[in-house]
Amino acid sequence: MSLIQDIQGRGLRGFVADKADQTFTRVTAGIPWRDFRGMLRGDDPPRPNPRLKPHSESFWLHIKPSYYHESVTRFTHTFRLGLLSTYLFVIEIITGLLLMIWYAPTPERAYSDMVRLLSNVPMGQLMRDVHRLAAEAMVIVVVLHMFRTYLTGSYKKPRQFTWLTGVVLLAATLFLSFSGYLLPWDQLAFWAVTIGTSMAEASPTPPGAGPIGELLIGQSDWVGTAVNLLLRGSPDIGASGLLRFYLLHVFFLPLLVIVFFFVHYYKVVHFGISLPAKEEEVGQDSANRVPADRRRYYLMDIAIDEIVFLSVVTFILMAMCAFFYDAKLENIANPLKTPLHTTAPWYFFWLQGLLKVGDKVLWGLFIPAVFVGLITLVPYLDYNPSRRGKDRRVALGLGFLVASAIIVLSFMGLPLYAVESPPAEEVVQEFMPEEGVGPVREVPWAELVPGIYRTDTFEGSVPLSEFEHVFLEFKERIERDPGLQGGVGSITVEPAQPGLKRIRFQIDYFDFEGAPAQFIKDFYLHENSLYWHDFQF
Amino acid sequence: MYGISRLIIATLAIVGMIVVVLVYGAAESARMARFDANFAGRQVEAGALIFYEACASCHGANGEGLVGPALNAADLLISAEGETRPPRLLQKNWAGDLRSYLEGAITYGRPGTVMVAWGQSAGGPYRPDQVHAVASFIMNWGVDPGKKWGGAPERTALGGVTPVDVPVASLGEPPARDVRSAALGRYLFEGPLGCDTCHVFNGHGANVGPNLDDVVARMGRDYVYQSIINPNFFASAGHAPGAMPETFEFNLTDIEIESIIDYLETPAGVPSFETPAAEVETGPLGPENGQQLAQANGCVACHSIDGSVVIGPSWKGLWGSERQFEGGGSAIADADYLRNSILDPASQLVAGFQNLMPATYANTLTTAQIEDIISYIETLK
Repeated sequence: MSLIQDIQGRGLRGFVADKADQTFTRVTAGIPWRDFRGMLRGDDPPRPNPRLKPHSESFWLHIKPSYYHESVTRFTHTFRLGLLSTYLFVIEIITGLLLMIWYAPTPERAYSDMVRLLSNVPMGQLMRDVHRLAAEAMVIVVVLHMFRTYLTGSYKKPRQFTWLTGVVLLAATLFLSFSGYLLPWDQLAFWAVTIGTSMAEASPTPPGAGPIGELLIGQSDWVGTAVNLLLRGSPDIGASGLLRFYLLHVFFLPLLVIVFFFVHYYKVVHFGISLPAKEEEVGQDSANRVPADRRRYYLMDIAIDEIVFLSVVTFILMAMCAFFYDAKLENIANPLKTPLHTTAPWYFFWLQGLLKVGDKVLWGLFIPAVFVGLITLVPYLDYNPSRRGKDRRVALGLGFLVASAIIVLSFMGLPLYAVESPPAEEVVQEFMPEEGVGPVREVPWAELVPGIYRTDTFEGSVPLSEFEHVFLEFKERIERDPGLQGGVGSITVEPAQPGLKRIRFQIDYFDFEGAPAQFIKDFYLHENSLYWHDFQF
Repeated sequence: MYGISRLIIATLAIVGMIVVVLVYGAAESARMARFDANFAGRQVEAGALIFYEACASCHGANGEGLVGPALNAADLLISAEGETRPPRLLQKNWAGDLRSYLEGAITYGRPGTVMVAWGQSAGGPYRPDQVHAVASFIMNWGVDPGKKWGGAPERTALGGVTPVDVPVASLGEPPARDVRSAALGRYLFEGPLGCDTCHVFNGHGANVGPNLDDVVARMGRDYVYQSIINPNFFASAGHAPGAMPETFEFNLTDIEIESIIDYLETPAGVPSFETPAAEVETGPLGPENGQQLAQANGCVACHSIDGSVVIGPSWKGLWGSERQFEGGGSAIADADYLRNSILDPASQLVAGFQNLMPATYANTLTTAQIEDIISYIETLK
């Protein structure tokens, strides 16, 4: 039938309406306009359900199941943590691609590129903040996702392999975050990664493997050295280390996540999200047999749920980054100067805590390796068929025990429990840290009145100025410290240059042996540094 | 219906997000400008730390110039009306701007002088960003060139506890450079070469490079010689190779290198290069010398000569006046009183002042130099 005959047969109006509806159906991957309107209004679907068509027609929707069991769609059943971590990963890819435009991974350029991004690229800081905050959030969300799965026993048959791919995704998330740490090439980055990679250096050489090392690198105790060399590209972190971490961060690890994500999600859809334990017989898996009256269709019901949830998450993330959160940029990396209180990233604090318990090889490597191995193999080791809490007392008890152990170990990994520097140095670090702000820098520049302030003769004005408040704290801090017997401190403020003041900390005290000791440290503060604006970058 | 409240929440969230981005975006140019100023300020702060560690010993704590040229000077920092560059750059036919001039001089040094190359690209210890920061610090004097600022403070004693190490001595007359001597070695070590900015020797210096106590006894003279002219040949355990400048081979004569090794061979307590034996022999030189010593030793930083009270009592009208002491007692300010106050500042503390004066002049000044300073104070009565 020709076009003309077609128009003559139906009239122009009917022809156009038909064509429009066909086009609409093509765009929506199979839903005609009339059904689409009903879908938006929330009408019950006609039979056969046209809303299932997109799940077979379109690529993105074919990944999603067309309906869920009513019981698994309650927010508190999964907290949508899997969706959230996927979404955060997408945000990471988008912001990461944008950040890559202004970044070159060489020690000469990396830091100045960061400065350029922050000083010369509109929205540059916001992009960096979102990238950083979403990354930290992703670590938390992925861990919580795993913990939820453990608590509901969802790793049990037939979902063992789903759990296993999940552990790979958790590890990839941690290392993605960790490899991104180094890229700004500031002091925080450099030393956190130096510490992290030197943990790998503790890898022991298996007995009998010595001769291989003799052959390869002329050293029988070779595995640790080789792992370290592989990661850093040279004995210390430098240009090759930065390039390796960059490639891990933007290429290898994201690829790994994408591959394992699809395996993981395929399994989730294939087996369905496990039902609440009380709705199932012990040892059964009925998640995939959803009675018709308990189905909730993805289109549009669940889809709207997800859109609402992700819109709110995005809004919170953007508002946090715009007004409350700033990804810090410390001073440029200096391989010759370790800042006080250097730490690994917070999600490796538990490892640092373990290292403080004892031997580097046993506690730093062997125990974590056993721990990770046990977590990976949990579904294959747990023979209890029941997913109900009252049958799983031991498993749940162990889960909470491990969670609290990790929290306690993380506290032990805090700089608070780090190797202490001499007490006077600690005091000065508290009031004027080498990196970051601290109370003295927060005092407005104009209120740092030049003069010599001594703790033994200090009489503040009434009312105390902001600086005098800080000084009073300094005085009390020194008098409290048992390591600073007879301690007298002074802060000398004097002009050093136009717009530049020298802040000299001096503490004279008697050490534990009663010998006189002195600690002096100079800082400089420029008028434009605006630390008191809480303007950190 | 799906529940209109869900849709309202989603709409609000999306609208809210757009508002957040717009509000944030509106402030972007101001934020970027603030960041620029802020970063420049922190460059000056970083530069100041390096300047007082490595540069102030030759260029002066106020950049007034000692062995090296003055840096806090209008002819370096300020362009004349209608000129594109400051006079000193024009005089040297420097085609670039002030920053490139300063960074070039710092990075590559001034061959043939004691100004070694400080930039890593020329074998020195500092990275390009550190050189940049020092240049920012020097250029910051340009707001008010030539003005005297606080300078480098001396270590003081608080609460009756004595300072552990002696203040860094300021540079006096350099010893002859063509005669081998431990005094010349010390002069080079602590002075123009600034070895002590990285090495500790005899409890003095910064702990960046290896500690040099007993290094000659342990390793022998040949090792030390080799390590000075080719620092990366032997890298000490725990120290990164490449940090020490490789320029000493070209900048130092054999006599100078041997002198440094002689100095490193001496046990603790070598006389300062300021008091070689020959100078002790000469008698007092008079008030003019006293005036110079008062400048060089930083006396005038605390004691004014115009009657104003800075930190210590003014020297104006001091001679012959009656001094009331903290805790009772008094004395007439004569030569004996002044001598005692220089050697032991705490013993006759004048009422109304704290004991902030270093008690180290007995070690750093000769008897004749103290007499010169006293005679200078006498001229101010």
